[in-house]
Amino acid sequence: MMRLIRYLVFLTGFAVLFFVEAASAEEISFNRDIRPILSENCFHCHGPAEEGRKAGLRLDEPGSAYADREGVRAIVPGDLKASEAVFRIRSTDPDEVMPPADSHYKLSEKQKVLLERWIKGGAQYQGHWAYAAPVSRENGAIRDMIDQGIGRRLEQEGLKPSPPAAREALIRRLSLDLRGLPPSAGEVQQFLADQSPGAWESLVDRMLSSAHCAERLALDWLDTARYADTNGYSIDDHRDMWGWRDWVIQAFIENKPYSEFIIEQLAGDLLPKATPGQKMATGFLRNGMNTHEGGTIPEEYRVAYLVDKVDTVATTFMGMTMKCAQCHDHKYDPISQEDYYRFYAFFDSATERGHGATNGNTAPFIKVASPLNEQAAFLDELKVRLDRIRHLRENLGDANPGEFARWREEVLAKSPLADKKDVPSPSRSKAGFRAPGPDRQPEWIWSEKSGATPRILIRKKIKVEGQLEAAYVFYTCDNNASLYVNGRKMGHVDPWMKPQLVDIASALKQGENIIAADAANAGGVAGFIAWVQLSYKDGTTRHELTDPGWFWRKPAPGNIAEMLAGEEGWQAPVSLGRHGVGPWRKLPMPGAAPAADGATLAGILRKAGAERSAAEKRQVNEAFKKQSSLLTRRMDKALSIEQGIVEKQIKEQGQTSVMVMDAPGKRKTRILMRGEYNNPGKEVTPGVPGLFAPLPGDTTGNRLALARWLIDEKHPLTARVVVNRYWQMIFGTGIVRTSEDFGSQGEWPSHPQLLDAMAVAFRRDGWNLKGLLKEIVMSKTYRQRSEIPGGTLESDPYNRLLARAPRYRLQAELIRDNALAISGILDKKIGGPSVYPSQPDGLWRQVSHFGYGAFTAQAYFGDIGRRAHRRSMYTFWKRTAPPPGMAIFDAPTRETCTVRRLNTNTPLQALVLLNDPQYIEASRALAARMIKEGGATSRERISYAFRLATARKVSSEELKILHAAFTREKKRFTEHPAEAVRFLAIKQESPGAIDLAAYAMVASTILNLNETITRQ
Amino acid sequence: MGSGLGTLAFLGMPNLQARNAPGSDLPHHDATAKRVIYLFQSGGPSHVDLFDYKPALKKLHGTELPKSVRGGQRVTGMTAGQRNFTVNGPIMPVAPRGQSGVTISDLLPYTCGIADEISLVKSVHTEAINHDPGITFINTGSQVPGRPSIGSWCQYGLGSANKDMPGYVVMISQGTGKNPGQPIFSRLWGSGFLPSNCQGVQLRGGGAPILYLNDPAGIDRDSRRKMLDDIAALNKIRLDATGDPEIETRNFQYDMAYRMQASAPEITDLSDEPESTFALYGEEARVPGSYAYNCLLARRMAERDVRFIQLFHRGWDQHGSLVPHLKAQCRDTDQGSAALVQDLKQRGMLDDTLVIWGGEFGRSIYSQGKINNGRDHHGRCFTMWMAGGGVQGGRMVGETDDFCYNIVKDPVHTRDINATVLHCLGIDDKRFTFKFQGLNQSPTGVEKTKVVRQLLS
Repeated sequence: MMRLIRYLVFLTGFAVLFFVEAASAEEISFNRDIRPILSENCFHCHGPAEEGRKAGLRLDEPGSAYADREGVRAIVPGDLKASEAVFRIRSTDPDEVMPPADSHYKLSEKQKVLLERWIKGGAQYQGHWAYAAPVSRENGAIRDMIDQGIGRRLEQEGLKPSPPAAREALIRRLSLDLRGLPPSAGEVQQFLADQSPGAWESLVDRMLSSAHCAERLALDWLDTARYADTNGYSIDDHRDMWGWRDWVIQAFIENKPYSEFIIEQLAGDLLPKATPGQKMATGFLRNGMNTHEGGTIPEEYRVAYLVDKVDTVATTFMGMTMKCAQCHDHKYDPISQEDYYRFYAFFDSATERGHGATNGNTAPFIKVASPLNEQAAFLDELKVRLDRIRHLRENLGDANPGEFARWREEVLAKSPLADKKDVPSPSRSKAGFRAPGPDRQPEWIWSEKSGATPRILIRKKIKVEGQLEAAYVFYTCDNNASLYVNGRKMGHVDPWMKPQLVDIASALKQGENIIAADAANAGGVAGFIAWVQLSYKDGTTRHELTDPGWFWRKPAPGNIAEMLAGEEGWQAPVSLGRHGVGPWRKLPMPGAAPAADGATLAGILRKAGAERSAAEKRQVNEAFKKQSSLLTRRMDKALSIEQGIVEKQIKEQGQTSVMVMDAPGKRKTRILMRGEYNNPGKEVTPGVPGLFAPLPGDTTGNRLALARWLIDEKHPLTARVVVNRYWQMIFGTGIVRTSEDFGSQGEWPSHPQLLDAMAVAFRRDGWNLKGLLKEIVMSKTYRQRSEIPGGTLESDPYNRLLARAPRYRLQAELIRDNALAISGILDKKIGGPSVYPSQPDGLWRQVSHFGYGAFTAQAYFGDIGRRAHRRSMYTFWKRTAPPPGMAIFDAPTRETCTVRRLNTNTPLQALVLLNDPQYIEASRALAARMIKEGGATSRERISYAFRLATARKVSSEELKILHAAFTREKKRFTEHPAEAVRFLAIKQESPGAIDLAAYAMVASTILNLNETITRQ
Repeated sequence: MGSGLGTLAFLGMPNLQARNAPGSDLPHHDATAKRVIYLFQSGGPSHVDLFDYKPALKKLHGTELPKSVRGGQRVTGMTAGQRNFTVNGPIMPVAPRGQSGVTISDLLPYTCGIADEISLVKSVHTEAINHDPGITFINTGSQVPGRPSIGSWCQYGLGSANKDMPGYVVMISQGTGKNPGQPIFSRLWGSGFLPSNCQGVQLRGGGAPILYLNDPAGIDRDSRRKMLDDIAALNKIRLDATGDPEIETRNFQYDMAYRMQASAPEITDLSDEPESTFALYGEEARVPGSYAYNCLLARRMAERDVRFIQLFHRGWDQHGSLVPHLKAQCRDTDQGSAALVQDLKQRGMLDDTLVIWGGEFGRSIYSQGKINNGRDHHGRCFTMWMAGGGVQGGRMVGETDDFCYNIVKDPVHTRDINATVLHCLGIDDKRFTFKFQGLNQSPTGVEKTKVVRQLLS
């Protein structure tokens, strides 16, 4: 561990020195060396923002910096002594020193020296590099620009590129980068065998044309577009935007020119004769969060949605943070508050309201067919989901296994197994409950008409004479009552609208029996009503119905059962009328499945789930719902809400709803003072920030004009930002590391000329994204080895110079996708509605509004089968509780636009890979695959799995360790076969279980290797 | 790509990137608190009923709230259309307690017992008027989602002091007063733009206390250990072949995961607690997932030097059923909160443990519907309390008008509360920054803050 700490300390120290050292070796560049210092330490008071500017001095402009202010000049080019700035930064007087002592900013000695060298050398200013259009004289292939640009810089630093990587490493790298999946064993074989000079290129072409490549590119876009399946704020119920996700995948399948990709998402609705697809593309802007929290002031949130759109568009396409200017002029970049609201005005004309819809999409939205999924295909998906929900409703124990196990124990404990006759034979069908004809109706009874007595006991003695086949009580009470048969509590009913049917057969005996109720009234009129049915084996049925022939008494302290059996205090009740009389009217009569009494239920529960008949399953489910807990009833309700939504979608017959933009253009936009929604100022028209070339004069100033302006060849940012982000996708870090910020606070590019050359060429080549990706991966730079040459960790710790190929951990989604693919259980279907792979129980319920109202997405009901094995990009994304395995591996919440994820390395990640049931399932599947496909011997099988995970051959040293693990685990499982049964989650020992379990342990080891989750 | 970010925070070392940010060499001053226990009461507990003592309300109860008091204040859509704004005094008496006279309601008898240990801030205020923006604001410093939570800032800056446990742990409970309470969100303990290892780790009642903590069925500790040794050995071969230091970090993290598997269940295993513990916290402290249980766990984690422990207790949103529901909320939480403070004190840990109690806003003096039916949200003033970790007990900061409606003295914004929490940990909130989107982002945003000094010395 100490070694590790030393390394990290050492590494960080060098990271800071690195570029400064680089700078001192050559001429000073204002943009690279000086602007970052001034921006960080000085612009806050001496920058573009008028408000808060001190001494009228700007250090971001030469005019102001050189100006004479009553004989004092901040900067005098070439003259250190005359420059007040130099005096101030060198001063030790707390009243004079700059930055001021209380500002918490401090210049390092190196920074001071740099500033002095710059002033001495003439204090040359440059406009911020990113705001000038990229120019490049290079006109060749992008792959050559890359190799030359990277090579030149390496040479300057005295470094050499690494040799090409092994072919196994290359195909795996390419496959992970372009498809997000490992190469198949066959693909590896084929590539190794193909020694033709065009082998690499044809491999690249194959991968780029795969639909999985489109998926991988779409996954990258989902963070940027803050895509999610829920509304985000407050109750965070579901929405339907998967149709838009399908649109994105389809756009990448077609390799739509990136310029069109931008135009359609920003303004597809405004294109002449816009197609449904072009309209649905604008869902990009509508992916932001919305709210319908009670009490919301709609305008406050409408403004928030617009601010989110500005932030998303500026970050995604311009690499700019405009947010600051929402409230005041930008402190670092030349963006005024007016600029901000002119930009905001592009989106302000839409009709989207501040108060969002519940359980679905907020207007404006369109009904549209998926461009990717035939109607039948996604209806099938919805039907599978519907079946799953129905199954869970009918088997609530599967939705809530912990509670079910607890309840089952409780039921069994109450009815100990006396002898075999407790278990009803499933073949025998009992007589069900049926009420006598309409001429025989029970009466509502109570102690008096007014219902004044709040609690009474009621009873009737009945005789059983003969062999009973079935016996039931169907009853209810206003307000509530508990049912007793011979002193044993058999049920409880509350409220009266939900009468209860109870199977009382097990509680009856030959001769006299007492049917009784402990009944309560909470106020107003009260009544108790009951049907008692005795069905004999000889086919006769008798009914006892409530009437004034029953008895009631007041309860006294003491044992209820004794009181009910005793003879004191019983009197005749009054009748309040026959069944059907007001205020209760006709009660809902019970259906075919009778509620099981305790003993019957216990009998059913003693059987394995699969052995229960359909009717018995219904009985179990009804009893579980009624008896177990509030949680179970709430789950049933939550499932019914989910069911309703899926049924509605199925009814819509092949059209899904996607939220889109519109622009009736009726609203006038005003600057919001201090960014406050209720503090409007001057009116503004749509327009782009003043620092850029304006919109062409002939355009109308709408979103379409904005989109076209973004892709105009004079635009300094868009092409650079796009190229940089795809560079980041492939190499792990952008040429501009801060891919979200190209402004004056952003980082200086590692290879500015290369970035510009690629940006110009990308535009020249028609914004051909797959073309760009192909050029990148065809470069020699891409194909280097990733092993870290001695010494480069010190000189270039973050590998910004690319003297080797980068190595980094796969992103969250790809880690899971890989495990599924390696183990052979990945479902490769493309697109469609989101899926619900397994996650730990209760995560949503614990934070959501579960149990209140009728909202979707408040409780998680996992899919099983193939829908649990889809690629992670299709996992239902709830913003307030994102999939835990994803969040632990650094996935953002998708609440806001994210263009760069951080990459951490934590113990919680280890726990996911070691213990998440999804990875255990993958290990078992990989074990089965090893046995089936891996060859005859254990060594062959282990080597096969290793190759599937890493694409390379296992070394003898590695195989030795893995094989020893196999032998060890096999011994353990042989000695403890029950452990194998548990690990495999099977019912009982079976032939081959020991081997399978031992292979699964090896498989889990392989899935946990650093190499398996690393792109290298 | 972020080498080692994860490692540092879990090693209990301050993150070096934070150190490199301008001036954020931590600590900025001597810390008075080593750790924080934040008892967050979600939904907006009623300052009117619980703390903000106003004798004048006796007379004013049932009268119409003067327009001048409401001023131009915006109220939520839930009561904006109401014709009358009837003054609704506290449902149970509030009175001065203890030697110090800190004012607390009869609804909180146990809290009355620690009156001299806690200090009230009666003049906390927020701009938010609804739950989502309100709770996001106080926990992340902004109404708009996307920023790191206060706990994750601490984790980022100070790291974990316990090698085997995360430094920021979150526990959730649901009250019986309003079930379910308003939703809460993972962003409240999320890391926003900070590295994701700074986010709060949820400790769950029952089952595995941390997600994926338990080994799968069929694997025992010994076979797990051997498997980890195999993984380490295989990774080491690659380390030697590639020189990639991330591999060494990965091995370290697997080892730590193994240790965490032992240490986390130790925290939730209450078998070593004497009966006196349950006398103090109440019998409910035996029930996993209850507020009292979470309070007890908070103490057990504090003993193990977990830096930032945050409880979220739901159900304080009494728009209706004010009397029964507020009573239920108080019954669920009062004993646990007070027990925690007493327990820390008797263990000598209150001195360096800062305990905070409060929600996202307060509640209106006027009733929503009939008298004693309910109260709407109120962000213009509400009460929070703090104890220990440098906070002097028995004080009251800030004053409101006779209607518990407007602040008349010493306003304290929610961001001032956060600045104060950080101050106690030795952090100056404005000097502690992380660069994101071109800005040196601080935990309290760009607005000025002031530490509530009246609490401190």
